[in-house]
This record gives sequence, structure tokens and C-alpha cells, in this order.
Amino acid sequence: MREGDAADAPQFLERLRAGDARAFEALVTTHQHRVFGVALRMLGNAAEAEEIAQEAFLRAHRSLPEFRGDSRLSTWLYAIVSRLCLNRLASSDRKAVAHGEEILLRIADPRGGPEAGAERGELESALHRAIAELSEERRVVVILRDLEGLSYEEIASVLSLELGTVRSRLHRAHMDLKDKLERFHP
Amino acid sequence: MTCDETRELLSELLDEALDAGERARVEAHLMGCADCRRELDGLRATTGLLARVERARAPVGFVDRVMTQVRPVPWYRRLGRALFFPLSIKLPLEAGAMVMVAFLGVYLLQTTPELKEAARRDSPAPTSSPPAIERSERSAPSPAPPPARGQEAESKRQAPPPAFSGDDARHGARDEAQKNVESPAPPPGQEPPRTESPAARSQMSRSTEMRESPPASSDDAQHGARERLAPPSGQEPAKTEAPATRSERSRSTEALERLPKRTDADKKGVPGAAPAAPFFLSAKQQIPAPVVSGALTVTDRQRAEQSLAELIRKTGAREIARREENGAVVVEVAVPQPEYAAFTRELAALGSLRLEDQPTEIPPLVRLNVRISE
Repeated sequence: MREGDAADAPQFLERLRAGDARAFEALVTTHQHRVFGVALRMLGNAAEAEEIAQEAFLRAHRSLPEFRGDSRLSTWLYAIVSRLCLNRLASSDRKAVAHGEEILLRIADPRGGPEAGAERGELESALHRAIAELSEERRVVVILRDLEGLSYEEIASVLSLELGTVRSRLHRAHMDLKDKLERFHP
Repeated sequence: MTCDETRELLSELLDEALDAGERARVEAHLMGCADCRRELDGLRATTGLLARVERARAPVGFVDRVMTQVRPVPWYRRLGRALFFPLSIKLPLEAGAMVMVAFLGVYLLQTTPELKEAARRDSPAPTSSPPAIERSERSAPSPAPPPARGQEAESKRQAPPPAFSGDDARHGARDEAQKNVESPAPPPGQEPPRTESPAARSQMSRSTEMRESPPASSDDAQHGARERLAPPSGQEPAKTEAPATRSERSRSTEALERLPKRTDADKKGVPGAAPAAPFFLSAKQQIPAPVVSGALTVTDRQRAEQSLAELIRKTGAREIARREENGAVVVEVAVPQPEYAAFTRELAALGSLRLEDQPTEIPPLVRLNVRISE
């Protein structure tokens, strides 16, 4: 069972729909890293990622009374934050920001620091670079599948895509990554 | 199954997302295709690397910041937001209001002068609006006494009062002068030129000084000026000032400066003084001689003017000013006392002469206004 699935219990959902602040705080505490992680990998900027993650939870808070429980809460939150990220990336302001090296340098290295080994640092950098250089539509699929562990069906639901589209995009993304990370293969 | 079809399904094979049939066909192809096996190994290694990516963690305090934003807003804040719009609405509203105020201000500034201009056009005298400075210039050095009354009053209607403020007596005189408008202003063609000669300009500044700092005996002097300048009762005053040219103006200024100062005896000798002289005529305190008006009716005006010129030269008198007025010419002459009797006698020989306001005691220099008409 994935982290946070216990929070989908019917009683908990009722408390959320009723506007229970403690229940909502528990929801944020449980899903904050997932939501923030998607935003960070998609946008490549910690401050912008936090802004988007906060906005995702605010929208969830406003929409909770209408949440029917057809999908898991985590899937629902992934859908919200993914849509916000894609919208932000499509906005004219965001397009003005240079991509590539600049963004990669701004990605926070969670294990960074002088004590980190050179080889591990190089691999981490290569991974971040390879993911960041994917197109937005392939990047979000890879993040949801390979980093967040969603199934193909969940990704299709989150992104409102056909299952075949998800498979195709994921395959293309993997092929791109394989070419870029081949030197790290055993 | 071809290699391309197989490779399309390799990611799903690794993710165990294929159904049993697809999985069997892909595995069958892989058994016999080394290239596709290498491709599968590469993909497996790549996904293995992706699994090593550290999961990002939200910054410290993230939950608190979210909860701060989702807490219910107190009623007074909601009321405040309802009363005072959000900034995105309030700012454009305020900016719009400022623009409207600015436009209104500009509109008023533009329309007010137009209204004034319209009021001028509606006034009976079609004269161009003379500036206030010109008014004082005309009145100060020119010996032409009261006649400009109507024109002056007209000027007052057209232009705002001068910046300085005179005493009460002056204001009274000005008001009275406005009331006493008896005749229309001269036609536009008689408007004097606006450019000033240096002499006239200096005289003008002198008169301005006099107005702003009147002498100690200003009351008496001003009263005297009124006596001198006001037309005698029963006589039609010269109503407008002639379109004196610049040279004429300078000449009259010089002539006035040469005239002797007026004495108390002179003051007494002027009968029929009217107290309605405009305040700005106080500058004519310099005019020493009393005014005698004469109406000369002739059959040939040009010939009479020539004769008058000869008479002036012969008697040693001086022509101070000359102006056209309603088909007549008004010549202002300063005549020495010894020649006054001869002058009037010969003047009477030119036509029908009617003299008014003859002084009982002849001063050393008599100022005579001769109106020659046919």
C-alpha cells in the first residue's frame, strides 16, 4: 500500500468534505513531498515549485466538498499539481525563462554537499539533466511513472490521456533517457 | 512480431503492464533477437538509474504556510474585502478616476477662456481687447483728457483689473467712470498701435510708478486731475482717443513734459469739473494747463486745418495731439497766455467757433481742444 492510502478512509474523506482543518492538515502533511516533488522536477525551481505546490493544496481545499472519491486522494492531488505545472510552463512568462543549463543548475540536489562523492554527483547531475531536457509532456509521464510510481492507468487518469498515449510517451521518454544515460549503464 | 513492434512494448514489459498474450509474443521475439535483448537491457538499466533519483522533500514549514492560507477568513476581513474591492479591481478604478479628474481639469481650463472670448464677442464694441498695460500707456502720457472715458470703461469690461490695488477714492472714480459710459468705443480702425516707442514706454513706466506710489498729496492732486480731465458740464466730451501714431504719441509726451507745473490758482480756474475721472488718469497731474474746448465749424476742413497749423506756428503755440473723431478732427494745442486772445480771434475767423469753459484767469499756458468739423 502506498503512503497516504490510509488517508483515503471514508471517515477521513467525510472530515475533509466537512471542512475539518485538522483533517486537511493531515492531508497536506501526508502528500506535501509528492506534490512538491512533482512541481520541483517539472519546473526545476524550488521557490516556484513551492508556490505551485501551495496553490495545488489551496485548490484542493476549495474543491474538497465536491470530491467524490472516484480516485485516490493522491491521484487527485497529482492531477491538480500536474495541470498547474503544465499551465505554468505554457505561460508566456515562463517561456521567457531559459531552459537547459540554467534550469538544471537551479534544481536542488537533495544529497548535495561537499561530502558527496564525485561519481554519485555526476550521476545525479546527469539524471536531472536528462529528465529536465525531456519535453514537458514526456517529462511529466516519466516523473509520474518512474519517480512517483503511478500505474499507466493512473497516469492516464491524472493527465486525462488515453492509455495508449501514455504508453507511447513513456516509451519515447525511456528511449531518450537511455541514450543520454548510456555511459552510466553497468 | 517485428523488432519495432517488440521495442514499443519493452517499457511495458519491464513495468509488467502487458497482458499475458502480448508478453508471450514479446518474449518469443526476444529469444531470437540479440539486438532487442540489448535494447531491453539498456532500458532496464535506465529505469534502474531513475529509481535511484532521490525523492524531493517539501521545505520546512510548508504545511504551516499552506494552513495559514486555508484558515477561514474572519467576518470583518470578509466584510472589508467586500467593501473595498480587491486590488485588481480597486487599482483600475482609482486610475480611471484620476484620469477622469485630469480630463475634467483640462476641459475646464480650455472652456473657461472660450467663454470669456464669447463674452467679448457679445459686447457692443468690436474693438480688439487691449491689454491692461496699453490702457495705462494711453492714459498716462497723452494729454487727451477725459474723452477716453467710454473706451476706458470698455477696456475695463474686457480685461481684468490690474494687479495693483488703488485706494478707495481711486476705486470710486473707476466705478463711476464705468457708470458714466456715454458713447460707444471708437471703431476698430482707430485702435492705437500696440508697439511702443522707447519714450512712450518710459512714460508708461513712470505713470505706473505714480499709480503704485502716489505722492503725499495724492488726494488733492487726483481731485485736481479730475477737475482738469473731466469734460465741462453740458459739453460733449471727446469720447475716444485718436489713433495716435507712435510719433504723435512721443511728440505729445515731450510737449507735456515741457509744460509748466499746475498751480493752485490754475485749479480754481476750471469750472464744471466732474469728479468722475478714471483713477488711472491721475498720471495727468503733469498737465499744467486747464482745458478749453472749442468747436469750430468750417466749410472746408482741410483748409481749416492748414490755417490752424499756420496759426499755431505764428503764435508760438504747440500742437500736442491730433485725432480723428466721427468725421471731425480734434487738435489739442497749448497756447501761451500772451497769444491766447489772438489765437482764439483768428481761429474764430476760420469758421463758426464756439468756445466753452473759458477760464476767468488766463494761465501762462492754455490747453485748447479744437474740434474742427464741417
